[in-house]
Amino acid sequence: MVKMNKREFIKSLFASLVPVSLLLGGSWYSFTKLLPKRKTAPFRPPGAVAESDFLSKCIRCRRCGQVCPNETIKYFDTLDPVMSGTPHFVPREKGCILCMKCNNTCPSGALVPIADDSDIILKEVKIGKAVVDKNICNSFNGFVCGVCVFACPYTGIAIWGDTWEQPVVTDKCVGCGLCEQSCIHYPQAIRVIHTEEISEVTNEKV
Amino acid sequence: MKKKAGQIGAEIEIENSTILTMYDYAFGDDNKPMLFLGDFEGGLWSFRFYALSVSDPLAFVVSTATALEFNLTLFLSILIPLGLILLFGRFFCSWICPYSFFAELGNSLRTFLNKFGLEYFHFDLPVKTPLFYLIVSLILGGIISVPITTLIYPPRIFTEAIYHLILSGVITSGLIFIIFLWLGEIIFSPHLFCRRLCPGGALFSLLGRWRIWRIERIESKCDLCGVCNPACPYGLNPSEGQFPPECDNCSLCIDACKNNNRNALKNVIRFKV
Repeated sequence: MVKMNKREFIKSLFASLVPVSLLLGGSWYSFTKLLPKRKTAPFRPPGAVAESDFLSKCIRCRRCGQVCPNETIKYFDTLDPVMSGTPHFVPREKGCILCMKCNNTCPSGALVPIADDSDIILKEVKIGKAVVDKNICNSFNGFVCGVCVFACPYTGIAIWGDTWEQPVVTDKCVGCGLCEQSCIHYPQAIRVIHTEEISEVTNEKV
Repeated sequence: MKKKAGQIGAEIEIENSTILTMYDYAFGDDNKPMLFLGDFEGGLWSFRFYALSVSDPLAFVVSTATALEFNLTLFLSILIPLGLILLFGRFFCSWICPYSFFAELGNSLRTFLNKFGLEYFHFDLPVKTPLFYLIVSLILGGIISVPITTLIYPPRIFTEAIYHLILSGVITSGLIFIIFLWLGEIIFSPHLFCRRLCPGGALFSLLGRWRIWRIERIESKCDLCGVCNPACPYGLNPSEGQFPPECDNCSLCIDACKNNNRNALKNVIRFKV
């Protein structure tokens, strides 16, 4: 072992501070400039822990995206040091088919394993909740549609069609986003939102 | 399944062929390109092969330090590499790490160009910089709860680069960083990143301090010719019998010693076990 004197200690401390400060600067840029630009927080795969825990626990190994049979899971831009390599999905592009493969393969505990059983999934998974925009939804505006009702894996439990297939979303909705993916209206009349944002959105839109 | 000419509505049954299936997996539009790997998933950073899940020990250290929470699944997955590191020391750097290959390539390129009289800079940092980088980035990353330590760790960068190259044909920023690092190493200092910054190397040096499999020098037989010293990529001095934790058992000094020794059987520098 090389014995260190004071001079070498300070030298190596400063030498290590250069890359650390660069990475911290990148994170600061991401926290202040890149993250506020996002309209909503990302939708994590099923079984994800809370967002701040997720960022620290996830080891960015990309195994969840590799097992995903539907290619639902995407990864953030690698230029963003805070979000880079963390999994998320965009419901409008591809919804989650709730196969529970990603959280069973996760080695880091960022995605908590959930058994592949429809009753357990209904209880445990809470990605968000679908909200219908009655102003543009076809079924509320004279055209009987009901595509979202039949796209849902829990038709009758999470969402059910009222008169003229007007969708009614219940609190059991897991937020997989298959309804949003299937919506034939552009822009989508049904949309998955985080459970914390429900009160804000429902006051405005519905 | 193509329709035969003249036969309306009839389909030809293609026999189930393994080669065709593999071709479909590899190049077919309907399948995921990664599926041809079969039951292997992940990369160097963390992978699963059948029931065996293996992760880098650095992943466990960084994840635990930033989240301040012990995760049993992650701990179980690092047990195999941890045991290997306790036995063999920093062997990962010289034998498995993909960046090591490029660094050695750059080093030989540098020595090759040196023959034509090209002089380069010699830039160096203190020996303990990687350890400081590991500790400082773990503390500061823990404060903002973002694992910034591993953003520059080559096995992780290569894993994500290969994933994105195959799946979406995108060159990641990490790969660009590696390319610039490699060019910088050729010009300024060989193996600078491995020796003086790599957080994984620092962790493996710490763990492998009491390694069993190590290189030793037989003092009575050594005639101090010193051919082994320039052969060491880490700038250690094997001729003085120094094999500190930074030594990654790459055995380049053994090769150099063999070439110089008249009787190759009597190696002065050799593996201990």
